[in-house]
Amino acid sequence: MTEGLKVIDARNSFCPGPLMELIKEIRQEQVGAVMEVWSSDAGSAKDIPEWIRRAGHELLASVAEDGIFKIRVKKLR
Amino acid sequence: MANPEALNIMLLSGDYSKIQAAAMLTVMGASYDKPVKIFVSMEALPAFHKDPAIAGTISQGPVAQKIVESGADSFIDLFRQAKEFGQVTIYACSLVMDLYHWQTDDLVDIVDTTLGIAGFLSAVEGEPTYTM
Repeated sequence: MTEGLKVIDARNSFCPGPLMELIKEIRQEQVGAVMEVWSSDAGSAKDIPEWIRRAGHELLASVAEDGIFKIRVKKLR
Repeated sequence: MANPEALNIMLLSGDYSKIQAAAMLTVMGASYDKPVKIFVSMEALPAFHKDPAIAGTISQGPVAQKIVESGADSFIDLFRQAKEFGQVTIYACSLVMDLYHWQTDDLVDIVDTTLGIAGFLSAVEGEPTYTM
């Protein structure tokens, strides 16, 4: 775990819940902030990186660990 | 002036799932900074009434029932979040408002104002518009 990393725990939330949680959180953060959303929804694991790209942020990592998808993003704007 | 990046929706169906889908499209569009205009008319408008007895008259198919049972955000919640995210305007159709003698205050507060079809067509002319 990266020190200071903001984790958005959206496990057990249905699509588009995890993405909604990320959008709400990223709007509150400063440019340059790094956060990681946790989702148990496989669809969100595809949807969230697409949203990150389209919304102009940076996808830092997307991994699956024990059925949990962890997507790390840096706010760019 | 027409904005090719805009997202506009004519929401006509009184089916919970279609209204939920429209709300999901709206919230995503708003998150991309797209201006979104929604014209709520016909069987969809009662879903936006403050009175639960009226709003509850819209139909729920099996998927809609699953959505409700899951505790997911309702379409009202999603539209409200979309309005917080960006430039989202929700119009209530003048025809249906007149038929039921409703005022804007009778509808949930996410509805901005009433508008006729000519006004909506003028507002979205040249812009992508979807019908649900």
